[in-house]
Amino acid sequence: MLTVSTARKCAFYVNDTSVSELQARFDAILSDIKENPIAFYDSDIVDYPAVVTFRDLQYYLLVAVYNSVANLPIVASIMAQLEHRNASTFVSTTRLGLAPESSCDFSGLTTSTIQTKSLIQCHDADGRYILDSVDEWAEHVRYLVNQSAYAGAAWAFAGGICQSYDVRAPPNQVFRGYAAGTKTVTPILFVRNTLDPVTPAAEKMRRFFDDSALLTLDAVGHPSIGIKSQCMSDRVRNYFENGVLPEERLVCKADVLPLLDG
Amino acid sequence: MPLDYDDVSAGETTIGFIQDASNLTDAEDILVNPGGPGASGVGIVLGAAQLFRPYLGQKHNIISFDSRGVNNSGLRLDCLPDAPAVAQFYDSRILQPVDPESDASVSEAYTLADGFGQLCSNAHRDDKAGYANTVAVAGDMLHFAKLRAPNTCPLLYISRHSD
Repeated sequence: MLTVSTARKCAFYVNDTSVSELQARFDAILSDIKENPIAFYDSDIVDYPAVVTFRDLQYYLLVAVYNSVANLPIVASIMAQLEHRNASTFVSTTRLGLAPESSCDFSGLTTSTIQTKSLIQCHDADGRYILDSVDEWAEHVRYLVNQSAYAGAAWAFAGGICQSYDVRAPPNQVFRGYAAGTKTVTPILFVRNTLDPVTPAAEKMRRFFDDSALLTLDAVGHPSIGIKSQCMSDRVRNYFENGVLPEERLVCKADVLPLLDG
Repeated sequence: MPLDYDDVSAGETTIGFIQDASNLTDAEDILVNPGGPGASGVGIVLGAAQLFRPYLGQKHNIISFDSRGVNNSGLRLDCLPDAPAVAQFYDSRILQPVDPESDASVSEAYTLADGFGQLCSNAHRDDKAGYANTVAVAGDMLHFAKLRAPNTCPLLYISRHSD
């Protein structure tokens, strides 16, 4: 519920009277940047003029909602600035406009997380879900965009990255799925958030494990850990310390809400 | 750790583990798979072990690891070895979201992935990169559990074999 006292804690709030007004402003900024990208140059922040595009913003928003409690205040500030076509916080947060470093005095990570992630994913896929024509790939992109107009296109690359990669895991290291009714020595406790931008799959996975339980945190984000909730931590601790499963399909409230607490 | 638990001739690799120990001397272990794929469990425990404590309590050791191909462990998954700055720049190209309304953008993104596949196949065709996969990581977790506590059965053991 939008009340003036809570909305004032959000840097994006101006004098909106409803959630739909806020959303309309948010969507208008996305459309504006889609039509008219923003050029940004400030020699204190960038090496060369950055161009802020809709795609940059979309990818940033997707990653930001992985950890909503920590990131949504920054998102609110960024969107408030972008509404006035001021891109300084966005550019400095996303490190656009920086020249590539030289390999001699390189200060970043020496392993590429995106290459590591993609290759493990391709070994796991073992040639399954190969999109081997532009049309199949376009179909995949449409499928994702239909799921989320905001973020669907941002992660699309992950579905196509294995198409020409031909290194394979040995056949005995390929996962071929569980049969329904799989038994574990101890029941599995699946933990999920109500809105997870990347792996909203707990419900699908638990179907394979008859005596498993599902515990839901009413929150936006990828990890549940890091979002304070006494209700959640009591249940999970009881599971690990005493082997007790929570009430069936329990939904816990978070003790902190993005923008309002903390 | 063996690269292949069904084939010792495949060779071995190293896995970096890390522990946030409980104060209890008889504490049992909780082994955390950091997921990702490709996330660093060592980094997570170093940076955020305190986030796990409300969920896992004080009675367990929290142990995690870098899985095969990640930071402190063996099997490097690196398509541009010895050129980290180029890799960082190239990653930023790969991560460009596609514009679903533009045929040109969709086609470009598709072709970009083709290039990625060619690059990485070339880099790893003749090494052991294929042993970096999630099934093998599950094997590493079981192997570690047996080494730590030889006489106990891990609580979440699931048989891979239909018999």
